[in-house]
Amino acid sequence: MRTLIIGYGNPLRGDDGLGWRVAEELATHPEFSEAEIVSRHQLTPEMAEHISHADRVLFIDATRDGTPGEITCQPVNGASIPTQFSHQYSPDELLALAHALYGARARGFVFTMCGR
Amino acid sequence: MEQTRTIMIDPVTRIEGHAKITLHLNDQGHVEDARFHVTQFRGFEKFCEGRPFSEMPALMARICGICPVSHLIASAKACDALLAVRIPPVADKLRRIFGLAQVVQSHALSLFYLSSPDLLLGMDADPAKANLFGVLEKNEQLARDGIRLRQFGQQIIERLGGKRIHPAWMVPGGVSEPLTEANRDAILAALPEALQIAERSMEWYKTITEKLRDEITTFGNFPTMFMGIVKENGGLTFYDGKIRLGDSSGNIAVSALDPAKYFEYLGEKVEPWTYLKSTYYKPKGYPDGVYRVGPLARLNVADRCGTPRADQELAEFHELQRTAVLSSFHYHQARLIEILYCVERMEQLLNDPEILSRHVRAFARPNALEGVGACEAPRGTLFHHYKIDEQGLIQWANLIIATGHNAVAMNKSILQVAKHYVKGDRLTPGMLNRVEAVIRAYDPCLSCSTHAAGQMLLQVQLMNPAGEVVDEVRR
Repeated sequence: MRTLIIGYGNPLRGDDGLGWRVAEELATHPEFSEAEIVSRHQLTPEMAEHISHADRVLFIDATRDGTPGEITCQPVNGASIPTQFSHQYSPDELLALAHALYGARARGFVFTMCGR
Repeated sequence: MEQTRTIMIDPVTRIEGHAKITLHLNDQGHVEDARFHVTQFRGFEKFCEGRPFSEMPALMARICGICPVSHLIASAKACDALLAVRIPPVADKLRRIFGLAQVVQSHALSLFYLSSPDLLLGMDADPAKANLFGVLEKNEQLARDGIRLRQFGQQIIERLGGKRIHPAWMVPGGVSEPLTEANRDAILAALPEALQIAERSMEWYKTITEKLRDEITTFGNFPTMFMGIVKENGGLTFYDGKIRLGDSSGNIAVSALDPAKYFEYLGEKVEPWTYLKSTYYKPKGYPDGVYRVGPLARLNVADRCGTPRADQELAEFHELQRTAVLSSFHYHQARLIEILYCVERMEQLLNDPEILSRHVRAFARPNALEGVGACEAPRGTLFHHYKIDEQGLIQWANLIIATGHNAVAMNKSILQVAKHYVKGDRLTPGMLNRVEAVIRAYDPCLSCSTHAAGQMLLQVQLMNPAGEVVDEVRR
Protein backbone atom coordinates (compact mmCIF):
# COMPACT_ATOMS: atom_id res chain seq x y z
CA MET A 1 0.00 0.00 0.00
CA ARG A 2 1.44 3.36 -1.04
CA THR A 3 1.12 5.82 1.81
CA LEU A 4 1.55 9.56 1.50
CA ILE A 5 1.93 11.59 4.70
CA ILE A 6 1.39 15.33 4.42
CA GLY A 7 2.27 17.54 7.36
CA TYR A 8 1.18 21.10 6.74
CA GLY A 9 1.20 24.48 8.44
CA ASN A 10 3.43 27.50 8.88
CA PRO A 11 6.60 26.65 10.85
CA LEU A 12 7.11 30.35 11.60
CA ARG A 13 3.81 30.67 13.45
CA GLY A 14 4.17 28.71 16.65
CA ASP A 15 1.79 25.78 16.99
CA ASP A 16 0.55 26.27 13.44
CA GLY A 17 3.78 24.60 12.34
CA LEU A 18 2.91 21.37 14.15
CA GLY A 19 2.05 19.41 11.03
CA TRP A 20 5.28 20.48 9.34
CA ARG A 21 7.40 19.51 12.39
CA VAL A 22 5.67 16.16 12.83
CA ALA A 23 6.31 15.29 9.20
CA GLU A 24 9.97 16.19 9.58
CA GLU A 25 10.19 14.01 12.72
CA LEU A 26 8.44 11.06 11.10
CA ALA A 27 10.88 11.18 8.20
CA THR A 28 13.69 10.29 10.65
CA HIS A 29 11.96 7.15 11.93
CA PRO A 30 12.69 3.84 10.15
CA GLU A 31 9.11 2.61 10.73
CA PHE A 32 7.95 5.18 8.21
CA SER A 33 10.63 4.55 5.62
CA GLU A 34 8.11 3.02 3.21
CA ALA A 35 5.88 6.07 3.26
CA GLU A 36 6.40 9.22 1.27
CA ILE A 37 6.47 12.12 3.73
CA VAL A 38 6.16 15.76 2.70
CA SER A 39 5.90 19.07 4.56
CA ARG A 40 3.86 21.90 3.05
CA HIS A 41 2.62 25.32 4.09
CA GLN A 42 -0.82 24.69 2.66
CA LEU A 43 -2.82 22.09 0.77
CA THR A 44 -2.76 23.44 -2.77
CA PRO A 45 -4.43 22.12 -5.95
CA GLU A 46 -1.11 20.85 -7.34
CA MET A 47 -1.08 18.23 -4.61
CA ALA A 48 -4.08 16.51 -6.18
CA GLU A 49 -1.82 14.95 -8.80
CA HIS A 50 0.62 13.81 -6.14
CA ILE A 51 -2.22 12.24 -4.14
CA SER A 52 -3.48 10.37 -7.18
CA HIS A 53 -0.44 8.08 -6.94
CA ALA A 54 -1.16 7.02 -3.34
CA ASP A 55 -3.50 4.41 -1.87
CA ARG A 56 -3.68 6.13 1.50
CA VAL A 57 -3.12 9.77 2.52
CA LEU A 58 -2.51 10.89 6.10
CA PHE A 59 -2.89 14.62 6.74
CA ILE A 60 -1.31 16.13 9.86
CA ASP A 61 -2.29 19.59 11.06
CA ALA A 62 -2.78 21.76 14.11
CA THR A 63 -6.24 22.81 15.20
CA ARG A 64 -7.80 25.34 17.52
CA ASP A 65 -10.65 23.03 18.46
CA GLY A 66 -10.34 21.05 21.68
CA THR A 67 -7.98 20.94 24.63
CA PRO A 68 -4.35 21.89 23.96
CA GLY A 69 -2.43 18.68 23.35
CA GLU A 70 -5.52 16.68 22.44
CA ILE A 71 -4.98 14.48 19.37
CA THR A 72 -7.79 13.35 17.08
CA CYS A 73 -8.05 11.23 13.98
CA GLN A 74 -10.90 11.53 11.50
CA PRO A 75 -11.48 9.79 8.18
CA VAL A 76 -11.68 11.93 5.06
CA ASN A 77 -14.02 10.82 2.29
CA GLY A 78 -13.48 13.44 -0.42
CA ALA A 79 -17.09 14.53 -0.59
CA SER A 80 -16.58 18.32 -0.48
CA ILE A 81 -16.03 19.33 -4.05
CA PRO A 82 -14.14 22.64 -4.19
CA THR A 83 -15.60 25.17 -6.58
CA GLN A 84 -12.71 27.57 -6.81
CA PHE A 85 -9.08 27.23 -7.55
CA SER A 86 -7.56 28.45 -4.35
CA HIS A 87 -4.31 28.55 -2.44
CA GLN A 88 -5.73 26.44 0.29
CA TYR A 89 -7.96 23.40 0.33
CA SER A 90 -9.16 21.22 3.17
CA PRO A 91 -8.10 17.56 3.12
CA ASP A 92 -11.62 16.65 2.05
CA GLU A 93 -11.60 19.11 -0.87
CA LEU A 94 -8.17 18.01 -1.98
CA LEU A 95 -9.18 14.35 -2.08
CA ALA A 96 -12.30 15.32 -4.02
CA LEU A 97 -10.17 17.26 -6.51
CA ALA A 98 -7.79 14.32 -6.90
CA HIS A 99 -10.75 12.08 -7.63
CA ALA A 100 -12.36 14.46 -10.11
CA LEU A 101 -9.18 15.25 -12.00
CA TYR A 102 -7.27 11.97 -11.85
CA GLY A 103 -9.73 9.29 -10.77
CA ALA A 104 -7.81 8.90 -7.51
CA ARG A 105 -9.21 6.44 -4.97
CA ALA A 106 -6.96 7.15 -1.99
CA ARG A 107 -8.38 6.74 1.51
CA GLY A 108 -7.70 9.69 3.72
CA PHE A 109 -7.29 10.43 7.41
CA VAL A 110 -6.67 13.69 9.23
CA PHE A 111 -4.61 13.74 12.41
CA THR A 112 -4.88 16.96 14.37
CA MET A 113 -3.46 18.20 17.61
CA CYS A 114 -4.97 21.15 19.38
CA GLY A 115 -2.48 23.98 19.80
CA ARG A 116 -2.42 27.00 22.07
CA MET B 1 -26.67 70.01 -7.46
CA GLU B 2 -25.79 66.76 -9.17
CA GLN B 3 -25.87 63.81 -6.80
CA THR B 4 -23.69 60.74 -7.05
CA ARG B 5 -24.27 57.16 -6.09
CA THR B 6 -21.63 54.55 -5.37
CA ILE B 7 -21.41 50.93 -6.36
CA MET B 8 -18.91 49.01 -4.27
CA ILE B 9 -17.39 45.62 -5.09
CA ASP B 10 -15.90 44.23 -1.88
CA PRO B 11 -13.99 41.99 -1.90
CA VAL B 12 -12.76 41.59 -5.47
CA THR B 13 -12.74 37.86 -6.22
CA ARG B 14 -10.15 35.63 -7.87
CA ILE B 15 -7.15 37.88 -7.32
CA GLU B 16 -4.12 37.61 -5.02
CA GLY B 17 -4.81 39.65 -1.90
CA HIS B 18 -7.65 41.75 -0.70
CA ALA B 19 -9.15 44.78 -2.42
CA LYS B 20 -12.40 46.47 -3.21
CA ILE B 21 -13.66 48.55 -6.09
CA THR B 22 -15.96 51.52 -5.83
CA LEU B 23 -17.88 52.83 -8.82
CA HIS B 24 -19.29 56.31 -8.51
CA LEU B 25 -22.43 57.04 -10.50
CA ASN B 26 -23.83 60.45 -11.33
CA ASP B 27 -27.48 61.29 -11.13
CA GLN B 28 -28.08 59.92 -14.62
CA GLY B 29 -26.81 56.54 -13.46
CA HIS B 30 -23.63 56.74 -15.56
CA VAL B 31 -20.26 55.77 -14.10
CA GLU B 32 -18.21 58.89 -13.67
CA ASP B 33 -15.36 57.62 -11.48
CA ALA B 34 -13.90 54.31 -10.30
CA ARG B 35 -11.32 53.38 -7.72
CA PHE B 36 -9.33 50.31 -6.87
CA HIS B 37 -8.77 50.24 -3.11
CA VAL B 38 -6.08 48.09 -1.55
CA THR B 39 -7.37 47.73 1.93
CA GLN B 40 -4.62 46.28 4.07
CA PHE B 41 -1.20 47.45 5.19
CA ARG B 42 1.88 45.23 5.62
CA GLY B 43 4.68 47.46 6.85
CA PHE B 44 7.72 45.45 5.67
CA GLU B 45 9.67 48.61 4.89
CA LYS B 46 9.36 49.68 8.51
CA PHE B 47 9.75 46.55 10.57
CA CYS B 48 12.94 45.45 8.82
CA GLU B 49 14.74 48.53 10.20
CA GLY B 50 17.42 47.46 12.64
CA ARG B 51 17.78 43.95 11.17
CA PRO B 52 21.13 42.73 9.78
CA PHE B 53 21.12 43.21 6.01
CA SER B 54 22.05 39.53 5.55
CA GLU B 55 18.60 38.62 6.84
CA MET B 56 16.82 40.67 4.22
CA PRO B 57 16.43 38.06 1.45
CA ALA B 58 14.82 35.54 3.80
CA LEU B 59 12.74 38.27 5.45
CA MET B 60 11.59 39.84 2.20
CA ALA B 61 10.60 36.49 0.74
CA ARG B 62 7.86 36.45 3.39
CA ILE B 63 6.16 39.35 1.69
CA CYS B 64 4.42 36.95 -0.63
CA GLY B 65 3.62 33.26 -0.98
CA ILE B 66 3.18 33.50 -4.75
CA CYS B 67 6.25 35.41 -5.83
CA PRO B 68 8.77 35.01 -2.98
CA VAL B 69 11.52 34.18 -5.47
CA SER B 70 11.25 37.62 -7.07
CA HIS B 71 11.70 39.26 -3.68
CA LEU B 72 14.62 36.94 -3.00
CA ILE B 73 16.24 38.00 -6.27
CA ALA B 74 15.73 41.74 -5.82
CA SER B 75 16.78 41.58 -2.19
CA ALA B 76 19.85 39.44 -2.88
CA LYS B 77 20.90 41.84 -5.63
CA ALA B 78 20.51 44.80 -3.27
CA CYS B 79 22.70 42.94 -0.77
CA ASP B 80 25.23 42.15 -3.52
CA ALA B 81 25.45 45.91 -4.03
CA LEU B 82 26.03 46.45 -0.31
CA LEU B 83 28.87 43.92 -0.45
CA ALA B 84 30.04 45.48 -3.72
CA VAL B 85 30.68 42.00 -5.15
CA ARG B 86 30.24 40.47 -8.56
CA ILE B 87 28.65 37.10 -7.99
CA PRO B 88 30.13 34.01 -9.69
CA PRO B 89 28.81 33.45 -13.26
CA VAL B 90 27.20 30.15 -12.31
CA ALA B 91 25.38 31.76 -9.38
CA ASP B 92 24.03 34.32 -11.87
CA LYS B 93 22.71 31.51 -14.08
CA LEU B 94 21.23 29.57 -11.18
CA ARG B 95 19.41 32.65 -9.91
CA ARG B 96 18.03 33.15 -13.41
CA ILE B 97 16.73 29.57 -13.55
CA PHE B 98 15.14 30.05 -10.15
CA GLY B 99 13.39 33.20 -11.35
CA LEU B 100 12.23 31.62 -14.61
CA ALA B 101 10.64 28.70 -12.75
CA GLN B 102 8.78 31.11 -10.60
CA VAL B 103 7.46 33.04 -13.58
CA VAL B 104 6.05 29.81 -15.01
CA GLN B 105 4.21 28.84 -11.84
CA SER B 106 2.99 32.35 -11.17
CA HIS B 107 1.69 32.88 -14.70
CA ALA B 108 0.02 29.47 -14.54
CA LEU B 109 -1.75 30.50 -11.37
CA SER B 110 -3.01 33.70 -12.95
CA LEU B 111 -4.17 32.26 -16.22
CA PHE B 112 -5.47 28.83 -15.29
CA TYR B 113 -6.59 29.28 -11.70
CA LEU B 114 -7.90 32.81 -11.67
CA SER B 115 -8.89 33.82 -15.21
CA SER B 116 -9.70 30.60 -17.04
CA PRO B 117 -13.35 30.48 -15.86
CA ASP B 118 -13.93 33.84 -17.57
CA LEU B 119 -11.95 33.00 -20.69
CA LEU B 120 -13.41 29.54 -21.20
CA LEU B 121 -16.99 30.00 -20.02
CA GLY B 122 -17.46 33.66 -20.92
CA MET B 123 -17.90 36.75 -18.81
CA ASP B 124 -21.65 36.20 -18.45
CA ALA B 125 -21.39 32.61 -17.31
CA ASP B 126 -23.62 31.55 -14.45
CA PRO B 127 -21.55 32.43 -11.36
CA ALA B 128 -22.38 29.01 -9.96
CA LYS B 129 -20.48 27.53 -12.91
CA ALA B 130 -17.68 30.08 -13.26
CA ASN B 131 -15.30 28.01 -11.20
CA LEU B 132 -13.01 25.01 -11.23
CA PHE B 133 -15.73 22.50 -11.94
CA GLY B 134 -17.18 24.60 -14.69
CA VAL B 135 -13.74 24.53 -16.31
CA LEU B 136 -13.42 20.79 -15.66
CA GLU B 137 -16.75 20.08 -17.29
CA LYS B 138 -15.93 22.07 -20.40
CA ASN B 139 -12.22 21.36 -20.79
CA GLU B 140 -10.71 18.78 -18.46
CA GLN B 141 -7.34 18.99 -20.18
CA LEU B 142 -7.12 22.70 -19.46
CA ALA B 143 -7.66 22.15 -15.73
CA ARG B 144 -5.03 19.40 -15.62
CA ASP B 145 -2.58 21.42 -17.70
CA GLY B 146 -2.85 24.40 -15.37
CA ILE B 147 -2.15 22.28 -12.32
CA ARG B 148 0.70 20.48 -14.06
CA LEU B 149 2.38 23.69 -15.19
CA ARG B 150 2.20 25.19 -11.75
CA GLN B 151 3.54 22.00 -10.26
CA PHE B 152 6.39 22.02 -12.79
CA GLY B 153 7.53 25.49 -11.72
CA GLN B 154 7.19 24.72 -8.04
CA GLN B 155 9.13 21.49 -8.30
CA ILE B 156 12.07 23.31 -9.85
CA ILE B 157 11.95 25.88 -7.06
CA GLU B 158 11.94 23.05 -4.54
CA ARG B 159 14.84 21.25 -6.23
CA LEU B 160 16.96 24.39 -6.24
CA GLY B 161 15.80 26.14 -3.09
CA GLY B 162 14.83 23.30 -0.78
CA LYS B 163 11.15 24.23 -0.53
CA ARG B 164 8.38 25.61 -2.74
CA ILE B 165 7.36 28.61 -0.70
CA HIS B 166 9.86 31.02 0.89
CA PRO B 167 12.98 29.08 -0.14
CA ALA B 168 16.12 30.46 1.50
CA TRP B 169 18.67 29.37 -1.10
CA MET B 170 19.42 32.80 -2.53
CA VAL B 171 21.89 34.72 -0.35
CA PRO B 172 24.01 37.88 -0.57
CA GLY B 173 26.89 37.06 -2.89
CA GLY B 174 25.22 34.22 -4.80
CA VAL B 175 23.38 31.07 -3.77
CA SER B 176 23.98 28.78 -0.82
CA GLU B 177 24.34 25.46 -2.67
CA PRO B 178 25.43 24.39 -6.17
CA LEU B 179 23.11 22.52 -8.50
CA THR B 180 23.47 18.75 -8.33
CA GLU B 181 23.70 16.63 -11.45
CA ALA B 182 20.60 14.69 -10.39
CA ASN B 183 18.55 17.88 -10.03
CA ARG B 184 19.81 19.28 -13.30
CA ASP B 185 18.87 16.08 -15.14
CA ALA B 186 15.46 15.91 -13.45
CA ILE B 187 14.63 19.46 -14.46
CA LEU B 188 15.80 18.90 -18.03
CA ALA B 189 13.65 15.78 -18.23
CA ALA B 190 10.56 17.77 -17.21
CA LEU B 191 11.01 20.53 -19.79
CA PRO B 192 9.50 18.80 -22.85
CA GLU B 193 6.19 18.21 -21.11
CA ALA B 194 6.09 21.80 -19.89
CA LEU B 195 6.76 23.06 -23.40
CA GLN B 196 4.03 20.84 -24.77
CA ILE B 197 1.54 22.17 -22.22
CA ALA B 198 2.52 25.76 -23.01
CA GLU B 199 2.05 25.14 -26.74
CA ARG B 200 -1.30 23.45 -26.18
CA SER B 201 -2.47 26.27 -23.94
CA MET B 202 -1.48 28.90 -26.49
CA GLU B 203 -3.39 27.00 -29.16
CA TRP B 204 -6.46 26.86 -26.93
CA TYR B 205 -6.19 30.53 -25.99
CA LYS B 206 -6.22 31.67 -29.61
CA THR B 207 -9.52 29.83 -30.16
CA ILE B 208 -11.36 31.77 -27.47
CA THR B 209 -10.35 35.34 -28.23
CA GLU B 210 -12.85 35.77 -31.08
CA LYS B 211 -15.72 35.47 -28.60
CA LEU B 212 -14.18 38.14 -26.41
CA ARG B 213 -13.71 40.90 -29.01
CA ASP B 214 -15.76 43.40 -27.04
CA GLU B 215 -13.75 42.79 -23.89
CA ILE B 216 -10.47 43.03 -25.80
CA THR B 217 -11.52 46.43 -27.08
CA THR B 218 -12.58 47.79 -23.70
CA PHE B 219 -10.27 46.17 -21.14
CA GLY B 220 -7.70 48.82 -20.37
CA ASN B 221 -7.32 49.72 -24.03
CA PHE B 222 -5.78 53.18 -23.89
CA PRO B 223 -2.41 54.78 -24.48
CA THR B 224 0.21 54.58 -21.78
CA MET B 225 3.95 54.12 -21.67
CA PHE B 226 5.31 50.69 -20.87
CA MET B 227 8.32 49.89 -18.71
CA GLY B 228 10.55 46.87 -18.32
CA ILE B 229 14.12 45.72 -17.83
CA VAL B 230 15.82 44.54 -21.02
CA LYS B 231 19.20 43.00 -21.76
CA GLU B 232 21.96 45.02 -23.35
CA ASN B 233 20.89 43.72 -26.74
CA GLY B 234 17.26 44.68 -26.06
CA GLY B 235 16.17 41.13 -25.35
CA LEU B 236 13.59 39.98 -22.84
CA THR B 237 14.97 39.26 -19.37
CA PHE B 238 13.71 38.75 -15.85
CA TYR B 239 16.99 39.01 -13.98
CA ASP B 240 19.20 41.93 -14.96
CA GLY B 241 19.65 44.74 -17.47
CA LYS B 242 18.66 48.36 -18.05
CA ILE B 243 15.27 50.01 -17.73
CA ARG B 244 13.51 50.85 -20.97
CA LEU B 245 10.30 52.78 -21.47
CA GLY B 246 8.28 52.49 -24.65
CA ASP B 247 5.51 54.82 -25.79
CA SER B 248 2.03 53.88 -26.93
CA SER B 249 3.03 54.06 -30.59
CA GLY B 250 5.47 51.25 -30.12
CA ASN B 251 8.62 53.37 -30.13
CA ILE B 252 11.35 53.36 -27.53
CA ALA B 253 10.86 56.54 -25.49
CA VAL B 254 13.73 56.18 -23.02
CA SER B 255 16.36 53.50 -22.78
CA ALA B 256 19.41 52.37 -20.84
CA LEU B 257 18.23 53.81 -17.52
CA ASP B 258 20.13 52.50 -14.51
CA PRO B 259 17.74 50.58 -12.24
CA ALA B 260 19.88 51.59 -9.26
CA LYS B 261 18.90 55.21 -9.92
CA TYR B 262 15.16 54.52 -10.20
CA PHE B 263 14.35 57.41 -7.86
CA GLU B 264 15.66 59.90 -10.44
CA TYR B 265 12.96 58.99 -12.97
CA LEU B 266 10.18 57.30 -10.97
CA GLY B 267 8.02 59.02 -8.39
CA GLU B 268 5.68 57.50 -5.80
CA LYS B 269 2.33 59.01 -4.94
CA VAL B 270 0.18 58.21 -1.92
CA GLU B 271 -3.59 58.47 -2.40
CA PRO B 272 -5.84 58.70 0.67
CA TRP B 273 -8.19 55.89 -0.42
CA THR B 274 -5.71 53.05 -0.79
CA TYR B 275 -2.61 51.58 0.84
CA LEU B 276 -1.13 50.86 -2.59
CA LYS B 277 1.30 53.61 -3.62
CA SER B 278 1.08 54.68 -7.26
CA THR B 279 4.26 55.22 -9.24
CA TYR B 280 4.70 57.49 -12.23
CA TYR B 281 7.37 58.59 -14.69
CA LYS B 282 8.67 61.82 -13.17
CA PRO B 283 9.37 63.85 -16.34
CA LYS B 284 5.66 63.62 -17.21
CA GLY B 285 4.36 64.17 -13.66
CA TYR B 286 1.41 62.53 -11.93
CA PRO B 287 -0.90 61.15 -13.26
CA ASP B 288 0.20 61.84 -16.87
CA GLY B 289 3.33 59.79 -16.25
CA VAL B 290 1.27 56.61 -16.11
CA TYR B 291 2.97 53.48 -17.42
CA ARG B 292 2.30 49.77 -17.25
CA VAL B 293 4.62 46.93 -16.28
CA GLY B 294 4.42 43.16 -16.44
CA PRO B 295 4.04 40.73 -19.34
CA LEU B 296 2.29 43.15 -21.71
CA ALA B 297 4.85 45.87 -21.02
CA ARG B 298 7.85 43.57 -21.27
CA LEU B 299 6.80 42.32 -24.69
CA ASN B 300 6.14 45.88 -25.83
CA VAL B 301 9.60 47.15 -24.87
CA ALA B 302 11.77 44.11 -25.66
CA ASP B 303 13.15 43.72 -29.18
CA ARG B 304 13.05 39.95 -28.98
CA CYS B 305 12.62 37.07 -26.58
CA GLY B 306 15.74 35.27 -27.74
CA THR B 307 14.27 31.77 -27.86
CA PRO B 308 12.73 30.26 -30.99
CA ARG B 309 9.12 29.47 -30.13
CA ALA B 310 8.65 32.54 -27.97
CA ASP B 311 10.01 34.75 -30.74
CA GLN B 312 7.58 33.24 -33.23
CA GLU B 313 4.71 34.04 -30.91
CA LEU B 314 6.10 37.50 -30.19
CA ALA B 315 6.05 38.35 -33.88
CA GLU B 316 2.39 37.36 -34.02
CA PHE B 317 1.69 39.24 -30.80
CA HIS B 318 2.99 42.50 -32.25
CA GLU B 319 0.41 42.18 -35.03
CA LEU B 320 -2.47 42.43 -32.56
CA GLN B 321 -2.49 46.22 -32.74
CA ARG B 322 -0.77 48.63 -35.13
CA THR B 323 0.58 50.62 -32.20
CA ALA B 324 2.15 49.09 -29.14
CA VAL B 325 -0.18 46.36 -27.92
CA LEU B 326 -2.38 48.51 -25.70
CA SER B 327 -5.33 46.44 -24.51
CA SER B 328 -4.73 45.01 -21.06
CA PHE B 329 -6.70 41.96 -22.12
CA HIS B 330 -3.59 40.92 -23.99
CA TYR B 331 -1.75 40.42 -20.71
CA HIS B 332 -3.12 36.88 -20.88
CA GLN B 333 -1.49 36.11 -24.21
CA ALA B 334 1.71 37.82 -23.10
CA ARG B 335 1.81 35.48 -20.11
CA LEU B 336 1.61 32.46 -22.33
CA ILE B 337 4.45 33.77 -24.50
CA GLU B 338 6.54 34.34 -21.41
CA ILE B 339 5.86 30.80 -20.20
CA LEU B 340 7.19 29.54 -23.55
CA TYR B 341 10.25 31.76 -23.20
CA CYS B 342 10.94 30.63 -19.65
CA VAL B 343 10.85 26.94 -20.51
CA GLU B 344 13.09 27.42 -23.56
CA ARG B 345 15.49 29.66 -21.68
CA MET B 346 15.78 27.23 -18.77
CA GLU B 347 16.91 24.57 -21.20
CA GLN B 348 19.61 26.87 -22.57
CA LEU B 349 20.90 27.70 -19.09
CA LEU B 350 20.81 24.12 -17.79
CA ASN B 351 22.84 22.92 -20.76
CA ASP B 352 25.64 25.34 -19.94
CA PRO B 353 28.76 23.15 -19.39
CA GLU B 354 29.62 25.07 -16.20
CA ILE B 355 26.18 24.87 -14.59
CA LEU B 356 27.28 22.26 -12.02
CA SER B 357 30.25 24.35 -10.80
CA ARG B 358 30.60 24.47 -7.03
CA HIS B 359 31.77 28.08 -7.05
CA VAL B 360 28.42 29.71 -6.36
CA ARG B 361 29.04 32.44 -3.81
CA ALA B 362 31.24 35.51 -3.34
CA PHE B 363 32.04 36.46 0.24
CA ALA B 364 32.71 39.95 1.57
CA ARG B 365 31.82 42.36 4.33
CA PRO B 366 29.71 45.42 3.49
CA ASN B 367 31.60 47.83 1.29
CA ALA B 368 28.75 50.22 0.56
CA LEU B 369 26.06 51.76 2.75
CA GLU B 370 23.37 51.80 0.08
CA GLY B 371 22.26 49.16 -2.41
CA VAL B 372 19.49 48.75 -4.96
CA GLY B 373 18.38 45.45 -6.47
CA ALA B 374 15.93 45.28 -9.37
CA CYS B 375 14.42 42.46 -11.36
CA GLU B 376 11.33 41.59 -13.36
CA ALA B 377 8.84 39.80 -11.13
CA PRO B 378 6.03 37.96 -12.92
CA ARG B 379 3.83 41.02 -12.51
CA GLY B 380 6.42 43.62 -13.40
CA THR B 381 9.50 45.52 -12.32
CA LEU B 382 10.48 45.14 -8.69
CA PHE B 383 12.89 47.36 -6.76
CA HIS B 384 14.45 46.75 -3.34
CA HIS B 385 16.47 49.69 -1.98
CA TYR B 386 18.35 49.42 1.33
CA LYS B 387 20.50 51.71 3.44
CA ILE B 388 22.63 50.27 6.22
CA ASP B 389 24.85 51.60 8.97
CA GLU B 390 28.52 50.70 9.59
CA GLN B 391 27.41 47.57 11.48
CA GLY B 392 25.37 46.36 8.53
CA LEU B 393 22.02 47.03 10.17
CA ILE B 394 19.16 48.21 7.98
CA GLN B 395 18.44 51.91 8.54
CA TRP B 396 15.93 52.42 5.76
CA ALA B 397 14.25 50.35 3.08
CA ASN B 398 12.07 51.22 0.12
CA LEU B 399 10.29 48.64 -1.96
CA ILE B 400 8.52 49.39 -5.20
CA ILE B 401 6.30 46.45 -5.93
CA ALA B 402 5.27 45.57 -9.46
CA THR B 403 1.58 46.06 -8.76
CA GLY B 404 2.25 49.63 -7.57
CA HIS B 405 3.56 50.57 -11.02
CA ASN B 406 0.22 49.46 -12.47
CA ALA B 407 -1.97 51.22 -9.89
CA VAL B 408 -2.84 54.24 -12.04
CA ALA B 409 -3.46 52.09 -15.12
CA MET B 410 -5.66 49.70 -13.13
CA ASN B 411 -7.83 52.56 -11.96
CA LYS B 412 -8.16 53.84 -15.53
CA SER B 413 -8.98 50.34 -16.71
CA ILE B 414 -11.74 49.86 -14.17
CA LEU B 415 -13.24 53.19 -15.18
CA GLN B 416 -13.16 52.27 -18.85
CA VAL B 417 -14.80 48.90 -18.31
CA ALA B 418 -17.35 50.27 -15.87
CA LYS B 419 -18.34 53.08 -18.23
CA HIS B 420 -18.89 50.57 -21.00
CA TYR B 421 -20.66 47.81 -19.11
CA VAL B 422 -22.20 49.12 -15.89
CA LYS B 423 -25.56 50.78 -16.28
CA GLY B 424 -26.85 52.44 -13.14
CA ASP B 425 -30.41 51.17 -13.46
CA ARG B 426 -29.52 47.49 -13.19
CA LEU B 427 -26.64 45.46 -11.79
CA THR B 428 -25.87 42.07 -13.27
CA PRO B 429 -23.14 39.66 -12.25
CA GLY B 430 -21.77 39.85 -15.81
CA MET B 431 -21.24 43.61 -15.57
CA LEU B 432 -19.49 43.31 -12.27
CA ASN B 433 -17.50 40.28 -13.33
CA ARG B 434 -16.04 42.29 -16.18
CA VAL B 435 -14.94 44.99 -13.78
CA GLU B 436 -13.18 42.35 -11.73
CA ALA B 437 -11.86 40.60 -14.84
CA VAL B 438 -9.96 43.65 -16.03
CA ILE B 439 -8.16 43.69 -12.69
CA ARG B 440 -7.39 40.00 -13.06
CA ALA B 441 -5.78 40.73 -16.42
CA TYR B 442 -3.12 42.70 -14.56
CA ASP B 443 -2.71 39.82 -12.12
CA PRO B 444 -2.11 42.15 -9.19
CA CYS B 445 -0.25 40.60 -6.28
CA LEU B 446 -1.77 42.47 -3.43
CA SER B 447 -0.19 39.99 -1.03
CA CYS B 448 3.00 41.93 -1.72
CA SER B 449 1.49 45.04 -0.19
CA THR B 450 -1.39 43.55 1.74
CA HIS B 451 -2.16 40.47 3.69
CA ALA B 452 -4.51 38.12 1.84
CA ALA B 453 -7.57 37.74 4.01
CA GLY B 454 -11.33 37.55 3.89
CA GLN B 455 -13.82 35.33 2.18
CA MET B 456 -14.07 35.07 -1.58
CA LEU B 457 -17.51 36.61 -1.79
CA LEU B 458 -18.67 39.30 -4.12
CA GLN B 459 -20.85 41.83 -2.45
CA VAL B 460 -21.98 44.91 -4.28
CA GLN B 461 -23.84 47.67 -2.59
CA LEU B 462 -25.50 50.54 -4.38
CA MET B 463 -25.60 53.45 -2.00
CA ASN B 464 -27.31 56.81 -2.25
CA PRO B 465 -25.45 59.98 -1.28
CA ALA B 466 -26.80 59.59 2.25
CA GLY B 467 -24.95 56.28 2.55
CA GLU B 468 -28.10 54.17 2.55
CA VAL B 469 -28.03 50.85 0.72
CA VAL B 470 -30.64 51.03 -2.04
CA ASP B 471 -29.63 47.83 -3.84
CA GLU B 472 -27.37 44.90 -3.11
CA VAL B 473 -25.96 41.94 -5.02
CA ARG B 474 -24.22 38.99 -3.43
CA ARG B 475 -22.60 35.90 -4.85
